[in-house]
Amino acid sequence: MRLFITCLLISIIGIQAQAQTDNKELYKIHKVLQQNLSSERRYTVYAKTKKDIIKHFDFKNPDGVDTSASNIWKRAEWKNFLNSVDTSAVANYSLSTAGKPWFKNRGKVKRTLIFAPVMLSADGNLAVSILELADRVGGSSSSIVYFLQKENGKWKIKKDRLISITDFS
Amino acid sequence: MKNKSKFYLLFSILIALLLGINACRKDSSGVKAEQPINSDLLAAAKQWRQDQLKVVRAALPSDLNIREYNPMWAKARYRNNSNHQKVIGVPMFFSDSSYIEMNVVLIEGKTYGIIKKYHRNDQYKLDVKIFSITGNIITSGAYDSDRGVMKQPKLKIATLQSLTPMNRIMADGGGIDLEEVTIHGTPPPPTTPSDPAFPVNPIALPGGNNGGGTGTGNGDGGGSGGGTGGNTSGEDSYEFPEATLDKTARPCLQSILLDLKASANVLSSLKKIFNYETGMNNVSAIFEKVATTPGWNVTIGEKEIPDRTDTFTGIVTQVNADTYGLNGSAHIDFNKTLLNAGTNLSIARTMIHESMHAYFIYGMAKAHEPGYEAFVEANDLLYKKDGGEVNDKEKAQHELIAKKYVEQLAGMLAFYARINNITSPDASLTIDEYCKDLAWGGLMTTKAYRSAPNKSRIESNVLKEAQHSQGSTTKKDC
Repeated sequence: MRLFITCLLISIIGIQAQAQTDNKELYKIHKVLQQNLSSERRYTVYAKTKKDIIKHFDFKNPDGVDTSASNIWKRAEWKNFLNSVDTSAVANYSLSTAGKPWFKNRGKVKRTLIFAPVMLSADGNLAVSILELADRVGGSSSSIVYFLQKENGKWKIKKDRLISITDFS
Repeated sequence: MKNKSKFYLLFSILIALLLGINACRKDSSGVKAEQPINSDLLAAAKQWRQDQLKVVRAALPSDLNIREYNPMWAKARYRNNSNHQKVIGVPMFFSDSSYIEMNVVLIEGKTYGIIKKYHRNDQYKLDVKIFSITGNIITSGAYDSDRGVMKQPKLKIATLQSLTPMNRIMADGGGIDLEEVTIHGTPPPPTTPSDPAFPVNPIALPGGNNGGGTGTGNGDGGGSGGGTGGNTSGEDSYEFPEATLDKTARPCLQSILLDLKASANVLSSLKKIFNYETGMNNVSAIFEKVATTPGWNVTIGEKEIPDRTDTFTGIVTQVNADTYGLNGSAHIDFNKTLLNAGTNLSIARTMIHESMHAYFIYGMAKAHEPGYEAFVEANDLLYKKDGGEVNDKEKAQHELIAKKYVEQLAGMLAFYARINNITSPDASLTIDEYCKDLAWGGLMTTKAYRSAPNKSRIESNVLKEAQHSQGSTTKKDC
C-alpha cells in the first residue's frame, strides 16, 4: 500500500511538473509572439485561447499562394509535425499562471490579439501558433500562422504566413 | 521663222509640264492626297477631344497628374477613308517609343473618334490602344498579323456590345478589321520640327511597314501613323482566363466581374495614354493584373460566413468577404448575406477591394522575384524600414489602400456605375462623389479615414448600399 501511494505521488508530481514545463514553454511562445507584434503596434490580448481560430489553417495543405519548395513547412520535420496534429484534441487554456495574467492590457487599444492554442511537436522543439488580429469595432481582421523553433533554449519565429483577411460591413 | 521656233519651244515646255504634272498625279495615286482644311471636321475633332477629356477627368482622380496631350492641330491631315468619308488625323504625342494620333470622322452628323497609340515595348510587339466617342471609351488590342485583325479581350465583347455604336462596330466578330487602323506605306524619312511633314511615327517595327502612308477605313485618318508589323500578337496579354468564378457562385457575380474587368481594361489603358507612365500605383491596372496574370489563379465564390462577435464587447458585425491564399491560388469568398442584401454597386465595391487584397497577397509572395521592385516601391507601407514585411499585414494593406488607392478605387467604381447606367441616388452628389463615399467601405478604422470629410454620410451610404435600403442605388441582380 505504501509503495502504491508513493508511486501515485511520484506520478502526480511528475504530471504536474510536465504540465508546468509545458505551461512555461507555452508562456514563452506566446510572449515571443506578443513582443514581436507589439514592436509595431499595441494590442489588447484576449485572456484565453480560442480554438476556432485554428479552422482558418489547413495543416495538411499549408501552402498559400506561394507554393515554392523552399517553404519551411515543406521540410521533412515540419511536414511530419503538421501531419501529426490532431486539431480535435486541441483544448483551450487560459493565458495565466496561478490566476496571474501573462499579458496586462493597459488603456483603450482598438486592435485585439487572440491566440489559438499553441501546438507543440512531440520532441518539444517545434511549435505552430495561429492567431487573429482584429479591430474591436467594425473594420477587419486577419489570421496568421507562425512557425517557431526552439534554438539554444529560446523560441524563434522561423516563418509567418498571412492565412486570411476578413472584411466586415 | 524665229517666232515659229519660239512657239514650238513654248509648246514643248507646255507639253512637258503637263506630262510632268500628270506623272506626279500618278505617283501620288497610291497615297491618297491630302485634302484642304475641313473646318466642320476640325471643330468636331476639337469638341470630341473636350468630351473625351471630361470622361477622363471624371474617371480618374485629380491627383493622378493626368497628362493632357496637346493635339498638334496645325499638323492635322485630312484624308478619305475606304468609305469615302473625310477623316482628320491629328498628331498628339511622339517619342522614341510611342506615337499617338487622334482620328475623327463625322458619320451622319455624329462624331466618331479614336486615339491610337503605337507603342514599342521590350518585346517589339505592336500594341494599339483605341479610344472612342462620347462617354464610353473603347478598347485596346494587339495586332494579329496572321489574321490581319485586332485582337481584343474576348470577355469584353459582351460588355462592349451594350455600349456605343462605334464599340459594337469594333467588337463585331471578335476583332477589328485592321484596315480600319492600319496605316500602309513605306517608312518615312526622319523629320525635324522644321519639316512640313513633322512629326512622323518614329517607331520602326521589325519586319513591318512603317509610317506615313495613307489611312484606309472607318475612323482612320491616315497621315503619319504607325507601323503594322511582322510582330506576333500579344494573345496571352489579352485573354482573361485567370480570375474565375467558383461553380457554386451565382451568375450575377459573373456579370459584375466581367464589367469590372472591362472597366479595368479601359481605365488602365486610358491611364497609360493620358498619363504615360503610371507605374504600379494604379487600381485598374491592379484589377487587370489580378484578373489576367497567368499563374495568378483567383477564384471568386460565395459561402455562408457567420457574423463576427467581438470577443471583448460582444458587438456583432456582419462579414462582407474573406480573401485568402490556399494551395497556390487566391480565393475571394463573398458572404451570402451581402450578396442577398447588397446592391450591385456594393458588391462591385467589395470585389475591387478584395481584389486588392489578392493583389497584395500575390505581390508580397513574389516580391523577392525580379521585376517586383516596382511593387515594393509602390506599396512601401507593407514593408518595414529594414525591408522586412510588417507583422500586421492586413492592417498595413488597409492603411495602404486608404492612403494611396481610395481615389482610384472610387474612380473605377464610378466607371463601373457609368457603364451600367447607375446614377447617384443622392441629388446633392454626383456619381463620382457617391462612389468616393463607397470606396471608404472597409477602411473606416484606418488613419487616413480620420481626415475624410462627411464621415456620417460615408458610413450611411456604405450601409445603405450593403443593405439595398431606401436611398441606395436601385440596381440589384444578386
